[in-house]
Amino acid sequence: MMKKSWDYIDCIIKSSSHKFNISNDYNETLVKKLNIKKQKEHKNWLLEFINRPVAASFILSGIIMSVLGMSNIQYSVLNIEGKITFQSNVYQYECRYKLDGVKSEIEEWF
Amino acid sequence: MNDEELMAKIRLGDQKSFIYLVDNYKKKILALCYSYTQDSHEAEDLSQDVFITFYKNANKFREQSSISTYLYKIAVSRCIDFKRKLSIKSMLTGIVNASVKAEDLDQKIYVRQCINKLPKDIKIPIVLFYYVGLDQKEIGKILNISQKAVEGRIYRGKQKLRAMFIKEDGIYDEKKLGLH
Repeated sequence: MMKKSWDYIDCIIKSSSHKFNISNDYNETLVKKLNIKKQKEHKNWLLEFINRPVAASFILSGIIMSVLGMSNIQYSVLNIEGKITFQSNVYQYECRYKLDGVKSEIEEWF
Repeated sequence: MNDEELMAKIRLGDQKSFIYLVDNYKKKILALCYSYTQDSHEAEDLSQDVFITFYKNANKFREQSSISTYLYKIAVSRCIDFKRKLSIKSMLTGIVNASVKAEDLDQKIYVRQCINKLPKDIKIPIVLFYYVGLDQKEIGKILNISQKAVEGRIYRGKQKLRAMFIKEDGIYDEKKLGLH
C-alpha cells in the first residue's frame, strides 16, 4: 500500500498545487455576501407572512365560489326536473285529448 | 479558543469569530475549490459559498465531529455540486474540454488536468491529501470511509496518474523536474 516516505509521483503531485494570492478583500466580500443573503431571507420571510392573508382570502373566495356554483347546479337540476314534469303533463293531456276525440268520433259512427 | 467556544459564538451570530474561523481555513478550502474550478476567482466564490453555508448551518452542527471535518464535508459537497452544474452547462452549450497535449501546457497545469480526469472517489482523497494537506485519518472522517480505504484510493490514484504520465514521456522525467 501507500509508502510512508514520499516517492517521485508524490512529489510531482504535491509540486503541481496552485499557489494562491488570496484577494485582500476576501473577508469583506464574504461578510457582504452573508449580509445580502440574510436580507434576502428576511425579505422572503416578510413576503411569506404578507402574502398569507391574501392567499387565505383567495382560497376562501374559491370555496365560496364553489359553494355558489354548487347551488346553481342544484337550482338548474331542479329547474330541469320541473320542466320535464311540466312537459310530461302537457304530453299526457294532449294524448288524452286526442284519445277522447277518437273515442267521440267512433261513438258517433255507431 | 477551542471548537466548542468558537461554535457557540458563531451560533450567536458573532461575525468576528466567524472571520477568525475563515482566516484559519480559507487557504485550505481554496485549494480544494481550485482543484474543481481551475480558476482563482471562481475558487474564491465557491469557497465563500462554503463558509456561508457553514455559517447558515451552524445550528445543525452537533459536535460529533470537529469543525474542520464539518467544514471540509460542506466543501466537498459544494465542489461536487459545482462540477455537476458545470458538466450540465457544458453539455447544454456544447462546449467540450479539448484535450491538449502535455507539451503545449505548463507541466503543473497538465498534472492538475490529469488529477481532474480521475474518478470522483479517487480525486477527492488525492486533492485532500496532496493539495489541502490533510492526513488519511481526517480524510476518512470527511468521506465516511476507513483510513485503509483512503490509503487504497490514494494508491489507485497514484497508479492511474503514473500511467497517464508515462504516456507523456516529458512528465515522467525525474531529472527534468529536478525533484530528486
